[in-house]
Amino acid sequence: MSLKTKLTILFVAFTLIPLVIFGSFFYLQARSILQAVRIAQLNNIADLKKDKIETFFDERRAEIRSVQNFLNVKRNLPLVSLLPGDETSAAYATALRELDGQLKPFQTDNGFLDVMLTDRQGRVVYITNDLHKTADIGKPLPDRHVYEEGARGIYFSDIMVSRSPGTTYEMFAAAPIKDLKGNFIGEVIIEIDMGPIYLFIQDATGLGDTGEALIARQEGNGALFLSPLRYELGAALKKRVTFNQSAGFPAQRAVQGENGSGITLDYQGKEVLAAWRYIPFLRWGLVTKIDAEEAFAPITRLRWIFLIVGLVVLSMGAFVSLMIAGTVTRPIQSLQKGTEAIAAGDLRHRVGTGANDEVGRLARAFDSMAEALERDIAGRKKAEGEVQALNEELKHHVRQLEETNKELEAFSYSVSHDLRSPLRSIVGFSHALLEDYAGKLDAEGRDYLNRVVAATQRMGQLIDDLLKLSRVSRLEMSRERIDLSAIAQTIAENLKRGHPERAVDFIIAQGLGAYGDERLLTVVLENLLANAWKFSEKNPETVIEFGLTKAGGEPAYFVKDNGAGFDMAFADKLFNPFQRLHHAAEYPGTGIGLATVKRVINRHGGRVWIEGEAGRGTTVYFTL
Amino acid sequence: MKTKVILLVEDNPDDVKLTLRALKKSNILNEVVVAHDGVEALDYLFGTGAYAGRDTRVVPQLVLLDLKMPKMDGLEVLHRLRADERTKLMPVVVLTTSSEDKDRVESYAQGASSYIRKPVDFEQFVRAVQQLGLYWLVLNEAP
Repeated sequence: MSLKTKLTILFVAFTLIPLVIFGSFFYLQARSILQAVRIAQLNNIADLKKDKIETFFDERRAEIRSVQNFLNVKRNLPLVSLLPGDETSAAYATALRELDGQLKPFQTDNGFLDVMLTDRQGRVVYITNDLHKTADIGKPLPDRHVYEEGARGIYFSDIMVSRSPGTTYEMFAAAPIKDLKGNFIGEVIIEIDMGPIYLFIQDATGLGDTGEALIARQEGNGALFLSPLRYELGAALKKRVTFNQSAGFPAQRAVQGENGSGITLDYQGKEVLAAWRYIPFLRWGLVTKIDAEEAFAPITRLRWIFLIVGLVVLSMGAFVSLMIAGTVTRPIQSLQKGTEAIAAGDLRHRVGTGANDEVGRLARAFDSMAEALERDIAGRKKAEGEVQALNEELKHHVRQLEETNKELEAFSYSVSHDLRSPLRSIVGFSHALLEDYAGKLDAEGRDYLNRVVAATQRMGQLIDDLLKLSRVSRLEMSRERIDLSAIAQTIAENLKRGHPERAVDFIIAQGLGAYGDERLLTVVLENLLANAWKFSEKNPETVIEFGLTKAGGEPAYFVKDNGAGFDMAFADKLFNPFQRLHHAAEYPGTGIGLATVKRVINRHGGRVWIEGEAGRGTTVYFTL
Repeated sequence: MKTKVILLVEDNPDDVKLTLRALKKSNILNEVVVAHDGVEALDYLFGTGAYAGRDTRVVPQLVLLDLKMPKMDGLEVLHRLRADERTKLMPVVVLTTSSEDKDRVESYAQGASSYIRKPVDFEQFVRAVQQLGLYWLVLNEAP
């Protein structure tokens, strides 16, 4: 993740977290306050409606009580109970007239649908509403339960569908009538139109656009809605909710005698705020409710405002943090690009910044570093180029030198070779002269010829040695593991065999191996051991040693004798061809041996040096 | 097979003379035929050129062959000899001044019977010739 992203996320998080915390806190707080207010409103309305309903029925009770006390009724009820429907009797007609005179205005004035009287058995014997008269007179009350309850005191029946025209729902109120002696003589039954009370119940004032009030009663294991519902107009006396349903919870609680309020589901299964009350004498449950959506609408609006404000703040925060992160990381990015460019080899790249903060200082330090690096590398490249040029030149020289050397070798070889032929003729014919014509020469002549022979023989030897030296340089070299001790042993034995009269003690260290060319290293050991042998021939007892020692930290082989030795002042010269420290008469030789040794050792990449002291022996060391 | 002929193939007249002297000194009295280059040697052996009509049944007992010669060098002569049925098994001793390993190895590869380097010292040369004659003319049995 880039620094810029991190910074942005950090910044946004710092904006977002308090925003979310405070927003949520305020929202929940506001919501709970609003809920309390709404519930209180619903409770108030429910209580108000309950009071109003009770007042309404208290008034009806008062009216019924006045009928109970009418003397007219107490006197005439027994008369109309005797001859129901028989209008021929004068007493019946008088009684009827008297009752009509009082009860008909009573019905009309109070807005009742009907006022009826029953006899003691519950048979309808009087009806104010003429429309009902022919159908009901002389018959028992359709609902026996009303009669039974009415016999005990004022009783309000359940609501039912009205049979009167222009009225939808009605209920009966029943009350006992007693004569002046206090004997039960029948009942007064009043048919009440539910219209006005429903109008009042359904009044949704204070319940907003979605609220309503309704009534219900218990029926079996459920609640039956009694009033037309706002969302189901034909539901009165038809719609039921059972107690195990989640819908219609407030009605369920109310019909079971509870008072309360809360957030719950209505008969539609919708979330509502509701208050519920029970009215015992009517066996009604009263519910006032409002949709939660409407109730919380202000807070929902608030929530939207919060969200929008939050989003605006957040995006502004994100934008600002992006800007800030950009400002902070841009110089770092250009620094990073600079590092990459330089790593990729573009040493002329500069970050370049005017900023005076830490990053700016870092960028300037980086630029001066790049400058130094560029200078340094340029210098180094130049030096490298020079070294390469020198190297090329050197290689060229080496090639030239090698070529020259080869030419020289070839030349010396062919010269040596071709020189031998005439030499052989000189020697051969000098010999022939000495043998065949010795008599014709005097002593001096023979001496001269002998000198010619000796000189040419010596020259032959020189040429042979030169050839050997050149061969050592020209031979193809192979490298393999070889046993130097075994080679030295063989050479020593050959030397002893050649001169069995000499007492020479060879001390050869066993198991000295080396990695090199067997033929060439054999030549080396032959030369060194032969030298040791030769320069110690004047010793009565000779010790020649071949072994391994340490010289300057590296292993060095050595051949040591206790012979004539030499003056160390000449040590360097000894490896030059034809360089000798002794007269030929003293020790024979051509001075080629050590030169040959040096060439072989050089070809092996080793070093060779010599140590000695006149009269005390010589040691030759070599490394491979 | 009354006389045992030696064929000396040598271009240098000095060397011819010295070799003949060395042979004489070594008491090798065989007839010596001298060929002065490779071509002449082959003519003699196969009865061609200057030697046309020679009785080629007279086969040299020993060939002494120099390597460095004009016209045809010793190695070529050796190669021709070994390629021919008649001279395939003939003893040929390479007698040369060369001490090169290359020459020696090549000579043996071409089927030289011996390889002897002429020493500068005449006495040594006489000794060498003596031993050579003793071996190839006396001890050695012809194939």
